[in-house]
Amino acid sequence: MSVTLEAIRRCFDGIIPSIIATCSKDGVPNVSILSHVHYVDERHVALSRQFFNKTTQNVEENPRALVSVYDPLTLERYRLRLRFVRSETAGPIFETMTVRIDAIASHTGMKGVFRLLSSDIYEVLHLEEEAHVMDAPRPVDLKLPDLDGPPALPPSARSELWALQRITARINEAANLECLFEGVLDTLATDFGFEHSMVLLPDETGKRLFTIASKGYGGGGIGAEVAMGEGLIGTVAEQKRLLRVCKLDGALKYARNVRGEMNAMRGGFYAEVPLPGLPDARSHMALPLLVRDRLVGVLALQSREDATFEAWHEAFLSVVASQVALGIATASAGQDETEEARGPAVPAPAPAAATSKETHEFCLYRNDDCVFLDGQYLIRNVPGRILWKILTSYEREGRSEFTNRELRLDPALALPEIKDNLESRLILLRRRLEQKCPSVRLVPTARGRFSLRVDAAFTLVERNGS
Amino acid sequence: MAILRVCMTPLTTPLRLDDSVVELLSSGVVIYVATRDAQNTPALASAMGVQVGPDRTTVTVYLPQASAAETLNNLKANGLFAGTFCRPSDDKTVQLKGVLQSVRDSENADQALQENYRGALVEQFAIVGVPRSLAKRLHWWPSVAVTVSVREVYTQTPGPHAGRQWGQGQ
Repeated sequence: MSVTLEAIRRCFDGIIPSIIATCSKDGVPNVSILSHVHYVDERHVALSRQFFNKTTQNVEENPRALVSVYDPLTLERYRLRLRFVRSETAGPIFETMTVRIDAIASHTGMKGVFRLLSSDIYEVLHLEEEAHVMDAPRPVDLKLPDLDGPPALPPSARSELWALQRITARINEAANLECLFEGVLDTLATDFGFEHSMVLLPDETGKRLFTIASKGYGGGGIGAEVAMGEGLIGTVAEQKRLLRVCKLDGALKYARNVRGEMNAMRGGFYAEVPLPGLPDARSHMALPLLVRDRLVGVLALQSREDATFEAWHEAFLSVVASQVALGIATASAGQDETEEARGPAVPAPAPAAATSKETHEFCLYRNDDCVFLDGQYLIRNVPGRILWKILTSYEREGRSEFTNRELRLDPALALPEIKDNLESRLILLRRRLEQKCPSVRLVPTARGRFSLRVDAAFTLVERNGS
Repeated sequence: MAILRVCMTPLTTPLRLDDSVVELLSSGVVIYVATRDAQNTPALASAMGVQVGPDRTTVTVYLPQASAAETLNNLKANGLFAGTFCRPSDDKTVQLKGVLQSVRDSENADQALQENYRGALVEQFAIVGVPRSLAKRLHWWPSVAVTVSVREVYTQTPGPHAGRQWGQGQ
């Protein structure tokens, strides 16, 4: 083979549909369009089987198949002569292909309905570039700027090793989780141009993820939640597998068309899950943050361009994700080390009267474990309970200095056992207050200590219903 | 190089295309043609342009001459044809199966038809993000006009109905 599968990896990113020709045992040809051909290794590809169809039947009778794949940047076409080898319904190839289909299915309200039945493995017998697919560009096309032209070719030389060194250094230098997330997201933007990124952590129920850090989404987004197993990010978290979608609008269009076809037959699909972050994202990548097999978060990246995330990013960003996951574990293990020596927080002098004329109402809905600010949702669960403890201590005892340790030991807060939860919940609480109520702030004062700074009057109300 | 061929085939009964298929074929579709050789090894070719015959039992597809040799050899040997026609903007797809009726070099009238067809296809590609400047470079001329008698029509739109006869379950 003069061309190698590795050299044409971007043909397997699912950006332009591929074509498969097969033939029945009685000699009738068949031709179908494939949404995605999956690269397995230098001699194998896999095709996803979501429905039983003529292609499936044909290759079981006659294993010969021919697939044409397109280079998404140039429209050059490559012909793969294949031999059907086997169908897999478990194992790493199946699981990798499943996460993509499950994520798209979940996003489009077809969870459990539109799913991978098997990964069909084919041996590549021959690979060649097809001749006479494209005419040469006219000279005028080369001179004029091509306003709707293809994206630039990727750089031939990459400095990913240096970038990895920089990102590792930022993680090692991070004094706390907040610095760690900021350093990683900054480096991803600076070194790779990944300008829209977020980190999500599982909440104490393990059923939802909340956004703890984000970059490129303006000031909002912190605290945004995703249900485990729902949509692109929730599926990555549930299956603990990486997801890379190079042409998100195309993948969603395909799935919606399938849903339209299935609707005629059964109907009753779930509502679509809103895309987290950019509503017009065209590329999406999400990586589980794992310590051993425990999910400690998800790193999600988005882009408004097609094909921003390439195959090599999978390996590279997986290394970054491992570093971030270990960084979370390390930061959590190291926190509060100095607290015990320092003892409990010294009661601060009576807080100064609020200088602002603002008045806010914080309302705790006990049934839902939610805190509302001036009638709008603010925060819930553990960070909500922490906020309530702090505000009531301030109101009843005049306290404004607190330690992580006293929160950790307070049974009323019902903190989960995993240590990283407290620091991450405090970060979330601090950020939500910064966004929604800047006149009530939590300010770190030393390792494991923070102050409540209040520049407004507030009332506390507790209710049972919502 | 006109040829006329009648062959023994599992595809026996001529079929008349309904309005929905004719409408789809005329809306700027991507066309792929599958054939097979004596060892049942499949071959693929892309086509630029399709024309439905006056009685709607035949279609003519236009294969770029430069890349048509393998497909034409197979068609001349056994006559068996499968063509998939997909509209990129909504993935609406039909597969026609049939037998070869004739092959000839394309003429001026065919070229004009192909030009119009190519314009519609470029716009369809643009809807799904393929730059017009790139889509316009898809090679298509000179071409060969391949006319087939249609024997079977299947929906290939992605989903549970794919592979069923056109019109069933839709």
